Amino acid sequence: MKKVLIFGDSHIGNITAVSNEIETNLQISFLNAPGPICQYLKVIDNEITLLPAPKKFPSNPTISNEQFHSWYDNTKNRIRAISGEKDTISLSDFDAIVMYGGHFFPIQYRWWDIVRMKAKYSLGLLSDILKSSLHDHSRVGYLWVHGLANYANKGGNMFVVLPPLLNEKGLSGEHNAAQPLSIFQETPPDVDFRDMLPIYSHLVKGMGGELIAPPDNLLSKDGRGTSADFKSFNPVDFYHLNPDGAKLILKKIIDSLQ
Amino acid sequence: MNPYENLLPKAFWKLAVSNKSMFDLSELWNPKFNIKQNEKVATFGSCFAQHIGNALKKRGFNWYISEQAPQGCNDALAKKYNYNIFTARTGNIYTTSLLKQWSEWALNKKPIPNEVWETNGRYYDPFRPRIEPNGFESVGEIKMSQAQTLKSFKESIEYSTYFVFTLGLTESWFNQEGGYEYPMCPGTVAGVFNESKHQFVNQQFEYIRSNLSDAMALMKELNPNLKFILTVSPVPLTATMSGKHVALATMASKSILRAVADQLATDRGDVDYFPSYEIINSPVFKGAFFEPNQRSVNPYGVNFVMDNFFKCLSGKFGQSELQSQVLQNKSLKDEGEDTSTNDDFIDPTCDEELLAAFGNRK
Repeated sequence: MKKVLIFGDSHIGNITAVSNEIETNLQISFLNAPGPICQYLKVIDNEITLLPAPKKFPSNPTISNEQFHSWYDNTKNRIRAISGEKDTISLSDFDAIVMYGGHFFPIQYRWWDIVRMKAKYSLGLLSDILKSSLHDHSRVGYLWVHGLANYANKGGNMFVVLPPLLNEKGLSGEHNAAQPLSIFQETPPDVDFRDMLPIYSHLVKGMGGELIAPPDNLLSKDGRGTSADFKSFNPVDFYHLNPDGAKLILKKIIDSLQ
Repeated sequence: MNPYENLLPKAFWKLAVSNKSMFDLSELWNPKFNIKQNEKVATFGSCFAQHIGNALKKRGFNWYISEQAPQGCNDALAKKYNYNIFTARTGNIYTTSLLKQWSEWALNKKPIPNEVWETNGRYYDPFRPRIEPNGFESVGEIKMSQAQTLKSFKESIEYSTYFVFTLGLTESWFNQEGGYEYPMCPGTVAGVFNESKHQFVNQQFEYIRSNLSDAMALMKELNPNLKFILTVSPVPLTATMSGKHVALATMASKSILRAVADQLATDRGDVDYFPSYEIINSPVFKGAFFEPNQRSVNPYGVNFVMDNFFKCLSGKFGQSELQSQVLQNKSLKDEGEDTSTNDDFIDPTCDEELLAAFGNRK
């Protein structure tokens, strides 16, 4: 039975919750580093490790110090459970590693800026621009994939799953939201995230991995966001998926690995 | 009384050369045109042409980039993809016949051939084989990129006041069936060499001259006011197919190119010649501007050539306010330093240098 580690940020929680509902012959371990904890989760020297937590988490409008430490301890405990009571997870213990989420979106360019360059510039250049943007802003997901590249270049199987786009219900209007919506609310009406997938795929391939593209029906018809059908049941959450969406993603991951 | 008695000191070897330090030689160029800082200058040609564009930019002139890298793309990435090397992303244009070919394509006189090279699932443009660091994703992507470059090349003709062209080679490779030219021999950078299809031509004076004249005529159809500044690359050949020793082949090639440039600059009011070749290669300079391989021009040489370009311009026409400012800033920066620092040296992108690798196999 193939051993697979799926790790990432809070989106892992969604797919873990539905994992019992999907049949698979894979032995999957899930590692979740939600919210600010993902900044402390590192891939170094073919191991996944959690940096020491600060004694007091800097004041944050939504996450208290107690909440931070509770999440931190959960992630730490998951690492111990997965690794057989060690402080780090060895990548070589798995047949495949899947990274999911990690804010793997460019900052200085919006994704649609890059899509719009497609008429003039090569896929190689656009993928390098995406890489440079992710690198320059040290996006968590980029650092993870960069850390995994070593493992992949030594023959390891690295897969990357992009975080969900903002739900289309949050794309316009004012909302009481737990997360900032403004960046994605700027998504122009004439762009489709599907056009961005070859650029991501080229980037991930160049780093030794393989992109697992989101299932087509996960995206809204116009491709500007996640379909309204998969909006989280939490009314203030416009990024995470509901169980149907989570099942769709997990099924795609499993199908890609089998 | 005879005509020599009225000549200026620069006409006499003893006064202009023997009695001077080589670094004090002056009046090496008598420019025809007063290049103003608001006038667009396009630069194309062989590897050495890259230095001219960058030097223009550093000194506050309007180096025209008609094919821009994406907004926000950093310098390293732009260079990796051959943006900001020449005015448009043509890659090296080594011969005058290649210049004519690009002009014909850009001005819709002839269609760009459909030939594409494929290696290990990547696609290469035979007319710019190293323009993308790892080739293109698809044939469609090559076509898109070619269309963009042809549009930009056309704009560089249409909107420039000056077109600076560095003549590089006489040796060239043609597709016999199609009658078109490659910048590099197929099978070197990419593609597959086919003896029955790919023909070597060592171009001679009249062929080079007529191609350059034809290219200029085409460009002037689009922009009748365009003026040309020619220069000959001082960089010796990496390799020769002529059967001669490479040192002899280099001298022959450069001499022919120099003669073509001289004839056009002498005959035409809209063509000038700037002596990059002589400044580096003249025995006066004792080979001081070459790297130990005696081929690559060192940063001192590049700076010396370009300093002469601007000194001669300002010597004849005076400095604009911006140019004075730029030069003043430069001298402040250089104060207390060796003035020939290579801080700003551009390592040129040069496809032809890849040929050296084939010699290393011997």
